[in-house]
Amino acid sequence: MKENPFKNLETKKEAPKEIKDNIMKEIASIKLFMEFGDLFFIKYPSVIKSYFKSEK
Amino acid sequence: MTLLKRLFFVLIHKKPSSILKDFKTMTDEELVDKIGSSQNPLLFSTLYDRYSKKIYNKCYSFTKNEEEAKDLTQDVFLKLFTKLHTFKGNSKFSTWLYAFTYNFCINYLKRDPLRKMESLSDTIEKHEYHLFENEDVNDEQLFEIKVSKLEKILNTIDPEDKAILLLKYQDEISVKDLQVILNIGESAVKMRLKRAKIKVVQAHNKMKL
Repeated sequence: MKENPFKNLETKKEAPKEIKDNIMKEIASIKLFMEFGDLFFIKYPSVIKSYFKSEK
Repeated sequence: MTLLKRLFFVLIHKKPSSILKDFKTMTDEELVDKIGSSQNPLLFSTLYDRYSKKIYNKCYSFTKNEEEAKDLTQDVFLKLFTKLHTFKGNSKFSTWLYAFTYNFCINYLKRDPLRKMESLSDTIEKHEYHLFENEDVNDEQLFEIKVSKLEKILNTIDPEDKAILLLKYQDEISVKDLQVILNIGESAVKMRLKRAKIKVVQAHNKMKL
C-alpha cells in the first residue's frame, strides 16, 4: 500500500497567540450577557412571581 | 491575575495551578461535560490549548491565507463555546470538532462572493468531465497522486467533497463515525465518498493530459 498523501497535506503552523486573547475576551462578554439575561429574564421574574404568590 | 480571580481561588482553597492541573488530566469528553455545566472560561481555555493548532491548520487548508485562517479559528472557537451543548457524545469529541470546523469553513467559503464566482466557473468546467457513477475508485488510485497535485485538486473541487475526503483520509474517521457526525446513512456516506474520489481522480487525469 502506498503512503497516504492526505497525511502530508496537513500544515503544522502554530496558531497566532492573539487568537486566544481575543477568544477569552469575547467569551467573557458572552458570559456576562448570558448572566444578565438569566438575572433579568429568569431570576427576577421568578422572584416577583413567588413574592406575589406568597402575598395572596 | 485580577484581585477578584485571586479571591475566588482563596475562597475555594485551591491554587489556580492545581485546578488547571486537574483539568489537564481530564479527557476531552469530561472537559466538555464540565464546561457545559459550569460555562467556566478557564476550562474552555484548556480545550482551546488542546485543539487550537489543529483547528488553525484545518482553517488554513481551506483559506490558504493566514489572516483568514486566524479569523476563522477565532469564529470557530466562539461558535463552539455556544454550541458545545449540541455535542451528545455519540462520537469522539475530536471527530465531532473536526466536522464542526469543516462545516464552518464550507459555509465561510460559500458566503464569499469572489470564491462563489470561482466555484461557478468550476461547475461550467465540470461539463467537460464525464462522471461515471458506477465507476469505482480504490484508495490505491487515490494514494498514487502526488501531494502537490492533490493539494491543487482539493482546492478546485467543492469544499463539501474536500471536507469528506479530509475527514476520511486525513483524520481517519470511519464510515460508521461519519454516519453519526454527518447524520446520514451508511450508503449516503459511501456515495458521497465515492463521488468525491471520482472527482479527484478525474481532475488528476485531466492534469496529466
